[in-house]
Amino acid sequence: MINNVVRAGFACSAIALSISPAQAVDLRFDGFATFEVGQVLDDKELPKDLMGNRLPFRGFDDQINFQSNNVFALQARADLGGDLSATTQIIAKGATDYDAKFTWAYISYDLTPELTLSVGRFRIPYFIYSDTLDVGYSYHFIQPPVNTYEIGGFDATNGVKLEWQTDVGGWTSRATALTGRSDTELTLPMLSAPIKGKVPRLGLLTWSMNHDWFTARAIYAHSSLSIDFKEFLDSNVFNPIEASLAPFDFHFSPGAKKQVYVQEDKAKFYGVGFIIDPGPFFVIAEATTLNLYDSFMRNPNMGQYVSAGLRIGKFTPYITIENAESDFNKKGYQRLVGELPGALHSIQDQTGAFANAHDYLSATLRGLFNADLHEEDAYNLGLRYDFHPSAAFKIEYMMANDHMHNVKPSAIAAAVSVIF
Amino acid sequence: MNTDLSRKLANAGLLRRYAIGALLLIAPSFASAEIAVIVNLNNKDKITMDDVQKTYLAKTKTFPGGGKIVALDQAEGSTSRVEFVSKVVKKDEAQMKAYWSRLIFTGKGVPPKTLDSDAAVLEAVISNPNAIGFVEADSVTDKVRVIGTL
Repeated sequence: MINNVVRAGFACSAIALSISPAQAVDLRFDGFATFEVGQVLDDKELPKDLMGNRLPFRGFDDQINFQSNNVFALQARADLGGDLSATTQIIAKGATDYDAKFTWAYISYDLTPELTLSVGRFRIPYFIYSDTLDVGYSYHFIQPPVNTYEIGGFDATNGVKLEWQTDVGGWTSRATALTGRSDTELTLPMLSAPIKGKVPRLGLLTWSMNHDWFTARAIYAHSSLSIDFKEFLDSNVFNPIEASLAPFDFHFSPGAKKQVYVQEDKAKFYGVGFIIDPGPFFVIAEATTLNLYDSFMRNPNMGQYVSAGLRIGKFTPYITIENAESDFNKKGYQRLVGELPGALHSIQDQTGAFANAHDYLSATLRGLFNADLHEEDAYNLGLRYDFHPSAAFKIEYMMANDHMHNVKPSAIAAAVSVIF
Repeated sequence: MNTDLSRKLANAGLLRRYAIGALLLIAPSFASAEIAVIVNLNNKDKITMDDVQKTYLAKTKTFPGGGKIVALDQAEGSTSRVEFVSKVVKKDEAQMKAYWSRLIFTGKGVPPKTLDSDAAVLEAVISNPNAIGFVEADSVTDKVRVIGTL
C-alpha cells in the first residue's frame, strides 16, 4: 500500500521534473473518488458457477460491502506549450485492495486545432461511458449498466489514438481511431489463480455526432483474443473425457480442441447509442454486440439498455432497463460431438440419466459451452442528489432476472461520488 | 371613525398588494443580472452566441480568424457565472460540472481558467488578444469589445 502511494508520488514528481522550469508549464491536478456501499437482498437468489460457488451480483453479496466498488483517482496533466501535453491518471480500487494503477498515461499533440494524436496508455472507448467509467460523478447511475459494460477487464490499451473533432453544419462530429495492445489478468471464481488474457492487435473506430441536445454514436472494433484457459480445460474437460474413453484409444483432434480454447481467436465488436438531453430530462440508449469466434465462450454476446431520468432541482430520479442475450459456438460443439466414437451410441449411460453414453458425453460438452451463456433482464431504480457543487449522493435498487441460472438477484446500493 | 379605520385598513391592504405586485415585477431583474460576453478590442472576428456556447463546452478551440481561444471562467456560484451558464451555455452549474468532468478525465479538454472577479476578467481580456470572458453588463468598459449581452 505505502509502496504504491510512494510510487505514485514518484511518478508525479517525475513528470514534474521532466518539465524544464525554463518553459512555461501549466500543471493541473484533478481527482475523483467514489465510495459505495451495497448489499444483496436475498443470497438464495445469487447465481452459482460450475463449482457451486455463489457469484456476487453487481459486486455485492449478502454481507454489507463497503469496499469492492470504491475508487480513488488522481490525474495530473502538464501542458508543455506548443500544443503538447502529458497526462496520467492513477486509480486505486477497493476491489484490488487499493493497489494503485496507471489507467491512463499518455502524451497528446494537437496536430491541428481539430486533430489530436495521443500515444501511451488509455481507456478503450467501447461504450458511451467507457472513458469515464470510474468517474461516478460524471453519470447518473451508480454503475453503468453491467449487462452492456462488462468487457472482462480488457478496458485499457497501450497504443496510438487519433481524435478528430470538427463542425459539420451545426453538428459537432467526433471521430476516434485507435490501435493498440491490451493485456490483462483475469480472476475467475472457478480458477484458483489469475490467468492471463491478451488482445494483441486491437483496431477501433468510433464516431459521434452531436447537435444541441442530441448525440448519436457508433463504434466498430476488431482484434484477436487469447485467454489462458488451456490448462483448466485440459484437466477439467478433455483429459477426463479422453481417459474415460481409453478403451477406444480416443483423442479429440487439435482442430476440435481449438474450437474450445481461447487462442488467437478473432473478435469483433459493434455498438450504437444515442443521448437525448434537453436538460429537464434525458434518455440514453446503447446496444452492443461482441462476436468471439471459435471458443467455448459465448458468441454473440449482446447487451442493450435504456436509461431515463428527470432533473428536478438537485434531484435526479432515474430508471434503467437492461437486457443481455447470448448464444454459443454451435460449430465447435458439433465438431467435438462429431468426433466422439460412434460405438458410444450402443453403450449404456451408467448414470441412467441419458439414453446412452454418447448422449451423456454430448450433454457434458454442451454444459461446457452453456457455462458462459448469459441471458438477463435487469431493472434499476435510483435517485441522484447533487448535495454539493462537487459531490453527488446516489441510491439505487438493482434487480435482475437471470434466465440462465433461473434466479432473481436484487441489491440495494448507495454511493457518494466527488470530483476535485 | 370606524369607517375611517376600515378604509385605512383596506387601503393598507391594497397598498401591500400593490407593493407585492411591484416587487414581483422587479424581482426578476434583481435575480438576473445582464451578462456581457467580451473579447479583446483587437479581436475583429464575427463571433455568435452559438460560438460562445461551443467554446465553453470545448467544442470549438479557435476563433473564426484562427486564433487559439483562451476562455476565462468565473467562480462557481457567482452571479455572473450562474447567469452565463444558464443563458449562454444553456445548462445549470451541476450539469456543466458533470459535462466537464467527462472532458477533464478523458483528456478531451482543459476547463477555462477561473478568475475571481469581473475586474480580473476585464483585465485579462484587455491584455490577451485571444481571450474571451463574461462579466456583468454594468462592469463593461470601452477597453473591451462586447460580443453580446443577455
